[in-house]
Amino acid sequence: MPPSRCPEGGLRREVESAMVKDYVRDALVPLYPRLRRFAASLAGSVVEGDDLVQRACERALSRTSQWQPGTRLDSWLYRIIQNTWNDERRSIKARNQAPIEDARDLVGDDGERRVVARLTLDTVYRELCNLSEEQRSVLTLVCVDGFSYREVAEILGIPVGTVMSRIARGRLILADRVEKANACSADNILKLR
Amino acid sequence: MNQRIDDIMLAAYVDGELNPHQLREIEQALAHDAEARLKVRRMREVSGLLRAACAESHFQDIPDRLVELVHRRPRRKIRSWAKWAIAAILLMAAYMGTAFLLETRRDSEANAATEDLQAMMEEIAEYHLVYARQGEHLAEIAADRRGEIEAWFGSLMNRRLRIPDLSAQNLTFAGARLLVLEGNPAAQLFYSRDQGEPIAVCVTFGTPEKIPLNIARHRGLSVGLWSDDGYLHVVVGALTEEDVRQIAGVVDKTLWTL
Repeated sequence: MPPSRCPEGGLRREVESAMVKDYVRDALVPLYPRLRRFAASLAGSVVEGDDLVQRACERALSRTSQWQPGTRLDSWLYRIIQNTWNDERRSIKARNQAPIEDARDLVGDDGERRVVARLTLDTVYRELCNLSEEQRSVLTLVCVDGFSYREVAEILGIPVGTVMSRIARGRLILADRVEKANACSADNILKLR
Repeated sequence: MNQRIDDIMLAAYVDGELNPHQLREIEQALAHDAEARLKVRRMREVSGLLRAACAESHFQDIPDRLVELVHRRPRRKIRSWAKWAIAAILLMAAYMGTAFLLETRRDSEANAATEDLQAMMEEIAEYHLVYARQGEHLAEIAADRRGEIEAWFGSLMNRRLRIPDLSAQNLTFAGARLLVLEGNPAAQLFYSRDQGEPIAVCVTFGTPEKIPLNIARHRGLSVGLWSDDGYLHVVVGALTEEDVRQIAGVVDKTLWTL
């Protein structure tokens, strides 16, 4: 015999769903900087990353019932950004990406620039942008956001082993390029003198 | 370099991804491998530089369109209060076995509210279907589950509430029902009386503006609405205006007193 319908349960679910949606909406604003950073690492530019964040967040807000309260909301949102990006990439395969703008030119933080020379940070960011999309996203998630390999694998929908190889290779490539770029800069400065 | 201590293992070491056994193994190997130590140092340095170069502060300038996205909430404006009264009246009408259409008092936003009104009619129709399934049962949750009702509604309203004692008004708590209006939980408390039909007290989220008690007659029923501290309250039933004032006074003083 099938269970009888329970209107109270249905209403409760509806209410809980509305409350979860409100919660997600409220949580989005403080998460935006990180979501924008991740989206920029995927899309190849801050502006396109913002477009991606917007579409992903619209998608997230229409699917809040799929988020399980008690689990990490940021991971869930990152996954949606990644999935949204995958969907769009399939439909616009041949798109030529514009180079990523220097996000530090959009907003400054003098306090941090005092800690590390701006020139070096600019170089690091520029060289990050020159890495492949796969390496950019993994490096951002692991080194910057601090996600574990397993979490990154879930977000990106790839095996943990792939995360490990990408992070190792991407980080050493980045180190090489930054060192070379800094060496060139130093040479140029000496020549000017 | 040891075959097992490749770049992947070194990266995992830098990122704290190794288990204790692997960690010991790597550290022992590092002690004898200058090349591996250099790689670890470079990996750590580049991680630190990445964190600085990609600091959250560089992405704080949120575009307006993203901010607007989270502000597109369901409206909780004065129009919804009229809906509330109508919903409550319809519920009472359903209980009394009377079918009637609704007439609404149109406020200054009446024209703009036309679409909302249609949506509300749809919403109320949905609830009516739910009520119709209850048969002769007035409430979904019986009065003897008072503590459960208070805890549940309190959690939904984000505030502790107490079911008002209206015995001085010759009203006995008979049970409760949960409604959803515009995506918001709405608690509906029923009170029976020796003479006359039951009355209902409803509470849901309102607007921050304080609105004094407003009493109106609809289809022979009195509907009293007021808003305070972000919550909208409704008293509905076959009551005199003075009855509504007294009940509203008790509700206003005791509903949120815990």
